[in-house]
Amino acid sequence: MTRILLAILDFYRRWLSPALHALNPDNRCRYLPTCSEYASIAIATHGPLHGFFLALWRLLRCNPFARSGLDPVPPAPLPRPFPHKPLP
Amino acid sequence: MPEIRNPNLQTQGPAGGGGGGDMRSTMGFALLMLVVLFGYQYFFKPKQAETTATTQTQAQQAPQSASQPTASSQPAQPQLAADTAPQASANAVAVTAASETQTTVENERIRIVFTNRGAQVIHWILKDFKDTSGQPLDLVQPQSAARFGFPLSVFTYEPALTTQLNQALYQPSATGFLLAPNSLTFHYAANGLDVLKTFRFDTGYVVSVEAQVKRNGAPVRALVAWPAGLGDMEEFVPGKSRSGAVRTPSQFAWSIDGKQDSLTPTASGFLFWTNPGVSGNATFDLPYQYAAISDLYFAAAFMPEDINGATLVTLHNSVDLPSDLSDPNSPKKPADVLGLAVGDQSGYTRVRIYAGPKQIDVLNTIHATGPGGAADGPTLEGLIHYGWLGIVAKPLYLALRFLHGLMGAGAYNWGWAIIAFTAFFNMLMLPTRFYMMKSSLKMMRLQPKVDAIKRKYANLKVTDPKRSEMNTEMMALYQTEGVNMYGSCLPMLIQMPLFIAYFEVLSNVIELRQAHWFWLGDLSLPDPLHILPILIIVSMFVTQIITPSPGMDPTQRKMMAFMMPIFMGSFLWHYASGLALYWGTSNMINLLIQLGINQSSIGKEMHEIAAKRAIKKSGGKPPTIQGKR
Repeated sequence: MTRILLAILDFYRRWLSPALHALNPDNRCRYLPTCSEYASIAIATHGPLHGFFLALWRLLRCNPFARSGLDPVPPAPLPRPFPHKPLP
Repeated sequence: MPEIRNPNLQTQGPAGGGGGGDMRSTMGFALLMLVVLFGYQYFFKPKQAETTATTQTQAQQAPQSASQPTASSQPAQPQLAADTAPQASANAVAVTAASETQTTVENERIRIVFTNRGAQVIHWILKDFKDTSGQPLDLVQPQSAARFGFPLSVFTYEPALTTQLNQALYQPSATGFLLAPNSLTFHYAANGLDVLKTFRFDTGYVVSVEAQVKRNGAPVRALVAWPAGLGDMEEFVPGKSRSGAVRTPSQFAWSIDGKQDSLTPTASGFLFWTNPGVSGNATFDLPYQYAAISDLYFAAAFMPEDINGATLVTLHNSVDLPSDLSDPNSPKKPADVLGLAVGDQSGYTRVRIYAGPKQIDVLNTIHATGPGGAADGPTLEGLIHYGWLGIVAKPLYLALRFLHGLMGAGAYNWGWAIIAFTAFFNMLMLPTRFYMMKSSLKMMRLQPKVDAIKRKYANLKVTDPKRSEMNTEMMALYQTEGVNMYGSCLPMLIQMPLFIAYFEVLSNVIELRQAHWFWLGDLSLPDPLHILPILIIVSMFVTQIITPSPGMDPTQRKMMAFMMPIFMGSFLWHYASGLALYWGTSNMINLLIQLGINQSSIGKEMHEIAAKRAIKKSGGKPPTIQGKR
């Protein structure tokens, strides 16, 4: 599932994005990393569902009224500590 | 095929290509899945639902009694020569007419022609609308009505009785020409049967119908029917076929307890099981506030006076039609004819019928019957469907209506309303574009430094967390140089739903049907002279050429400059000209803005940078497009 979404985003970045940006070439993405990169990273680190919603929230934030600039993907949650027998 | 590089993609570098091998197989798999999904839907359309004949038994079956004189056998107002046989015997007196006559009722909006054979309607003409051949629109479709029944005929659960009632010669209360407001009664009695149909007309589209069928004094469950769909079914009209427009079939729409819903004749929709289709001959005893057959622009809606006693039967037939309407000899495909019969469970049916256009102004004034019996229930506005993106389409339509109203009367003002709305929208985006341009210029000057940073991280994949440091570095660079990032996804995210919304509005809203604008006869049909698509292709091409975009590979730019205009132009060639009008206006405005930018100092500097970059990339030889300046 993750790979399918990543493949779709890759397709967008290679083919659809130049077409859409040709209409208004000065329209760069507001944030660093760009929205599609953000989506790829989010899906890769947080899994498809959580990553999808992170990406969606990012798209909604990408409007003239929001702060621009650096907006990295929040780091993945640390894995829960693995319960093990107490060390001797 | 030249290597197509996307400036945003350059942040991935060769790792993008390395990871691409992995991606490519997954992409291929995803594509295959999509193809299978859509191919299945295209090739294996679900078969039409079988007509289930669930005939219900008679609600009441009065015991046959020999001596039961029907009191209503005497006609109330004997005006024509009626074959009354006044007999003192116990047998009922027959009431019928001597010959077939027609009665025409007319008001400002409609003209209805009744025939006394079956007391049904043979013409129901809407005077404000024309069909595609220029004649006033008749809601009665002659071929299917002749096969399946005329509007306001009677439907009972015994086919023999139904045929008898619809073939008999009723006695009308008046013939000839009647002006509304008025009322018209048809009466027929023979062999124990007694049928009385009363129609009341007012100044609008709504007709009030009362019908009662009695057999030997006991009421027979009989429903008032509209069996044969609506005359505006574009499927039936040969000649100018709406190529490219999606023909929506008639739908069965209703409202129960304030909740509206609808069904198409055959199972349809992306999830087949949510829309099972109309099987036909199925009875529903539900408290309908209104139940209607509606097609794209017109509807016939039944509003029972007594909601709790309402009963309804759906009728679903099909007619074979040539698949290509302009050629009557093409192979025939079945087309659905949807019908309804609505009545009361007690046998005494009182229902109001609205048969007319799905115009929002008109439908807002027509209320279904409320619980108290007065006409204060929900309006018929729920009949208007705005397509699957209705949330955006409806506000767009209301905005267009507002602009249209501002400009005064005149049919061609819808075109101007579209232009005004588009211009307003583009002007709104103008200040942001200006800021975006300035910031983009600064970034272009910085491009060498940015490239240096990207090269440092080039060997990492996109999804590698270490890449975030690259972003931090770039951000620091931008901050020191004072670059503000003004872009936003908003214009793109708005333009696409807006495009779809325009498409829906133009296809679904009746006010835009046959709305003309200069040479465009009908804004919802494709441009007959193809001027607009050609204009769009040319304007998009020219805009592409004169726009400086230094980030793009020149071969990719050339491809974009040719492919995009041709793609949009060919798409809009076949679809509504109103859509082409919107896109064309948008393009012309963009073109003018770009010409203005090119004249300014910012534009000139951008072009210099772009030209220098292009020369560097192609190793000293200026390529065709960018070398123009």
